[in-house]
Amino acid sequence: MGLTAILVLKDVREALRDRRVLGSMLIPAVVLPIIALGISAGGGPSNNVEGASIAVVNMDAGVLGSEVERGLVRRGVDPARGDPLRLLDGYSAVIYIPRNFTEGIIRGEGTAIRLYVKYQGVLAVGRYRNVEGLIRDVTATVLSERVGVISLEEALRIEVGVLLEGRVLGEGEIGALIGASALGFFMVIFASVALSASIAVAVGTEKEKRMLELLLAAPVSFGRLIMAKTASSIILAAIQLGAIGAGFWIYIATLLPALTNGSTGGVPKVADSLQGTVGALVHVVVVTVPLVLLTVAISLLVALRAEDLRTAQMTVPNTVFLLVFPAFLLYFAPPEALGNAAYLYPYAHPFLVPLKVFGGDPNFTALALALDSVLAVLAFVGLGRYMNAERIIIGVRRGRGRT
Amino acid sequence: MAINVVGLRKRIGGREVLRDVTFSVGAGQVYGLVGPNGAGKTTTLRAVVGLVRPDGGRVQVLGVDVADMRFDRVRRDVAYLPEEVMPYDNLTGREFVEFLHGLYGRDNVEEALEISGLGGRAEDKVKTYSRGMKRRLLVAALLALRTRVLVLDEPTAGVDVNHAVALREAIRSHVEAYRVAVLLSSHNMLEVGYLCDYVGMVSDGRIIVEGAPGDLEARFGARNLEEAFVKALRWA
Repeated sequence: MGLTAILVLKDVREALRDRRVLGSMLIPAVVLPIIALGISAGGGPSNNVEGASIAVVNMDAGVLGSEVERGLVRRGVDPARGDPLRLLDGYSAVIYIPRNFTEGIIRGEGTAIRLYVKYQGVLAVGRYRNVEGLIRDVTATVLSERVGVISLEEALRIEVGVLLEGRVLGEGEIGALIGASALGFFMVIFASVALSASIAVAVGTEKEKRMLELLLAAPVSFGRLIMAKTASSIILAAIQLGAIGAGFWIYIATLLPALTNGSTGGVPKVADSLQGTVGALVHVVVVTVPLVLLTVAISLLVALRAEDLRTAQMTVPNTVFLLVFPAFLLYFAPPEALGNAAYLYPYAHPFLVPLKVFGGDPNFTALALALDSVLAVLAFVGLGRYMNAERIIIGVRRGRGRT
Repeated sequence: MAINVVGLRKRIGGREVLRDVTFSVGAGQVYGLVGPNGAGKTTTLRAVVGLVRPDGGRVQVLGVDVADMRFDRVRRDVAYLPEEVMPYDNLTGREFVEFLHGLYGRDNVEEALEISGLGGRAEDKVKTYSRGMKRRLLVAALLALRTRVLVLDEPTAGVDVNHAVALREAIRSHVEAYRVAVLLSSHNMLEVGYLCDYVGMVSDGRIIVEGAPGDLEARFGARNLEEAFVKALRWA
């Protein structure tokens, strides 16, 4: 067995036998789905569109379209004329009643109302579900009064078009965008936190036991030690992410449908969204790889300066959390609020890349990959230049250490 | 000479902690560094194993300068026991020895466990051991590596009297059997007197006097090494 493998095996064995480490790895797997459940329970189905600026464009020649338009106007929707996509400059949603609306209903062929919305970030996705609810509510009333009781499910389809950077995305595409973006966000936040926690344990234990001194005097070079710590931390973080993923899978596949009677209501359809296009997911994974290495290098730099395990466990995840914190704000922000600087922020790339891919600019992935790779390489070069056995053991800067 | 230190100087945090330290250790010899806390013993040991870069002077181990790239190849023949080192809590004693021997490409696990005197406890997790047992495990693991150079910082610190005696005997017989060069530091003058062929008394970053334990006692008219050490410090 090679030296790196011996070091990695020891780290993994040591960590997986520690009840505290195991607990800290498994707790998020239980807690996070519960939090997600709480959030989704608070966002049930609703027709409440109060505060939203919505327009209705009625192109129907028949009476039913006009009735639906009037019903919507009574509920606070503005009547409008013109290109619905242009109207999105002033409205957050535009309801478009097509020319053959009445005819389709009368003939029993069914018809479609189109709903155009502007993509305003992941938090806004639930809002168009509320507009959908409003359309169904008004249409059901009109049809039951004018045509008698018919099955709304058969008579009416609502086709959603989401405007993103000049392109109109269908519901499938927007589901894929949300799925890929959520995956990117998940990878950035949890991978960073899990990695930093793993590195804190892997390096903090060595520091606390003063084993680094013994190892660095043994036939283990600093570079090999760093390589081994990187590998073992990635393995441990992957185990933790696997546990969290399993927790979410149980949540998505079992708990959520059971508690919401199969409907996710106003919440984006998470399970559907996860079936996003493979292409977008590949983009996300590609830009995440250098970020993982960047996080590892920064975590190692901080961990190697810590005196003991407890200090490492406090300082390393905190430092990494500060680095990734802006990602929380950017992920939930509407795209128009993101300045150019946001696209230079590495930890936003995994969830901004799907936005660019679906917005018709797949080249952004290459740009993000190049930038993040350069940063990761620089971080490792900096680690190699700044850290050496002497600095790790006696902390030259602070003049510490036994003489 | 297995270890050859000439004019070693080192500054840490703006303070000169080693000043012209010179000594050598031959194969089959045990050289002990004694001195008050902060005298420079540990820094000297760290410089010998290449963990601390000298600011001046030269440190050669097995004929290779520790600052030389070739020293990495020599490391397989140098084992170092830091003073406060503790084995990993969640490995068993046997697994820890296997780990350490794996790093050196050796497999003398049974010999190490025998020297350690842990018996059946070798299969228990290290976290269930006393401090003394952990130290015994470490020293035994390093001895059984059979490296040509052994650098030990307070080898029996925290070990009870019975086991300390056993460990010293193990170190002594190991030196004689395999002609290992041992450099150690200790505050325990009894240990130094028993183990060491030569002793260097360190004060304020320099070796103020060195010689065989008996010669030092005679030179300072002392009844034992401890008394010789106190008198040497006053003399310096």
